[in-house]
Amino acid sequence: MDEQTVVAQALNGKLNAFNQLVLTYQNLAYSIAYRVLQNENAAADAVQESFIKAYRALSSFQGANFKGWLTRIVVNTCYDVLRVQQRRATTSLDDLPVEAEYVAYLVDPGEGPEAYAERMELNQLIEQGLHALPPDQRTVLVLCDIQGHSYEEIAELTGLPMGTVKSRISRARTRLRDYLLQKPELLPSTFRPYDG
Amino acid sequence: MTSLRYPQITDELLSAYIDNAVSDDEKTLIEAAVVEDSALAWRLETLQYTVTLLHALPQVSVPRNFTLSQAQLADATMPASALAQSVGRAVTSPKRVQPGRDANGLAQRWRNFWQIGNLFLRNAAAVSFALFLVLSTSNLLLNGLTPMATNQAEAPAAVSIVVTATSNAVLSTATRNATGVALATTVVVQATTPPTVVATQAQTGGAQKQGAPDAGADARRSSLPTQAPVALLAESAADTQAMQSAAPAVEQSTASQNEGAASSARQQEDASASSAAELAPPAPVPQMRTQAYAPQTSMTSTMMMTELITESSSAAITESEAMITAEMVQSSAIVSDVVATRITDTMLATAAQTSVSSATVGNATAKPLSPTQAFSPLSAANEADSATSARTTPAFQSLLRILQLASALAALLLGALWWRTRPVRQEI
Repeated sequence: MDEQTVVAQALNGKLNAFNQLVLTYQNLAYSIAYRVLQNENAAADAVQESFIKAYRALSSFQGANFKGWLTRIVVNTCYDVLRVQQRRATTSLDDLPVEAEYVAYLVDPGEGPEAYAERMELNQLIEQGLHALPPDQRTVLVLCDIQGHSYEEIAELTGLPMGTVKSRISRARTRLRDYLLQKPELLPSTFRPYDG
Repeated sequence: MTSLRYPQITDELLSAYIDNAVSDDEKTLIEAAVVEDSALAWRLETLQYTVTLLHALPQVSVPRNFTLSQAQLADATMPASALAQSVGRAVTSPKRVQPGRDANGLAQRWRNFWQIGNLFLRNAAAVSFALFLVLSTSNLLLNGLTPMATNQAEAPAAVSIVVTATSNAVLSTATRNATGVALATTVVVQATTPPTVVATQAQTGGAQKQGAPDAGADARRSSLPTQAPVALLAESAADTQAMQSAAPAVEQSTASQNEGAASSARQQEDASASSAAELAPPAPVPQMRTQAYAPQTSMTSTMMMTELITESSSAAITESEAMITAEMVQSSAIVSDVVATRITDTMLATAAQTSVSSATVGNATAKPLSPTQAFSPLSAANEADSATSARTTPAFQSLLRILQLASALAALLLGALWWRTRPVRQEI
């Protein structure tokens, strides 16, 4: 059954049909939410809220790009969560401990222990670098470099002008690069700081 | 960051180059610059590697399934979903029900609106707002009852008259009850005179104070150094003092004339008018008060007459119930109503004339008021009450205003804090 048919059935009020869409896109939604929010529980709540929003706003869905429409809902929900977190924030994101526990479900069992440890440490560094980014820059960077959206799609998803999207992506990349350079031993030799 | 040799090549341009979002000219420029400038090449390479690392990040696995259930939709704080409304008839009804369009949806939205956020702040804001409303209402009521307290500093005279006369229905009821206990006629007169008004008052002396209409006229001039509110409250049925003062007049009136209260009122009006006509020319005697009960309010003869009529008629009813007939009661009430209407017009004219007099008196040239203007006698007790009210009311009203302002500010502040605790929802 193709997506259009499932969407049409969901529009008719069939919960099972909508749940098929949920199962299809929940990985995408959770990945975005987790990268943007940098918190498992918050990401899970945001995804659940996004699907509820999506079902209730299903009548307003017009078009064939259900994935993009759902992604926009997820991004908006993440913005809401970020705003609430910023209001209640008592500690800086930069003050979070550098060394953190590995996430169990990120483990790839098919890799050697040494390579696995190095890769996980690098991934952890990248995650921390993402965490250190401002939320607006982190969002566009996740959508661009992790989810693979184009500038135009990001502008549509976030409602930002194209120039803003470009500048935010550039600043986010530069900032993340500078963050990774704090631990050059995890990076390849070409990544070492340029001495001039 | 820019290169010294290629300042036009910024990190943003390099980032766009990585995403192949540059023009052909920019692409050519960057590729040429990278060959010549090693620093620029390092910047581009590190940026590309950063993007590669991000691309290589593993996809996170979902901790659980996010499929929806009817219970989830029902328990959600958002409006009742279309699913909850249409699940039971999903097969037969292809058209979705718009959430929030019906009355239940609107009511649910309204309830949800107030249930989101910090409830303590919401309740505190509501209490503050309620307090503000109560204080505002109290302040309005107080201002309505004691306008002079708030306008003491204002020179122009402000005259307000409140005449509450017993209605015909009450009189009739009292008459039907044959006890007359419930009968009450109240005249409340509030007047303000300018601080330096020198006016001529028609005073009929003690006899007139007691209600005798044809007592000898006593012209008396009085200068009022201060402006004070005057409230004359004569409750004929309840106030025994007023009854005592009015009773002889009624007795005299009823003894000499058995024409009922209406004819008595006409006679009193004539007597008052004749007394006013016999007023001596006024002479200014500033800053002097000749008698303790000297009146401080300029009132028309009509007002005096109204007071006398009211006192006499009501006292007559209570004192000598047996003599009261239904005609007397009715005619008395009618006369009261007519006079009350006259009072309004006459007092407005009096206020205007008093203002003119005030301006004239400022130059120590006392100008007599027209013969139709006369002072009504006030008792010393009423004067004392008025003075006390004038002293205490401003402080009380200031306290009310402070509380009113504080409650309004508290409501605004707590409401804003409550609003900040609400999660911001963005339109999809």
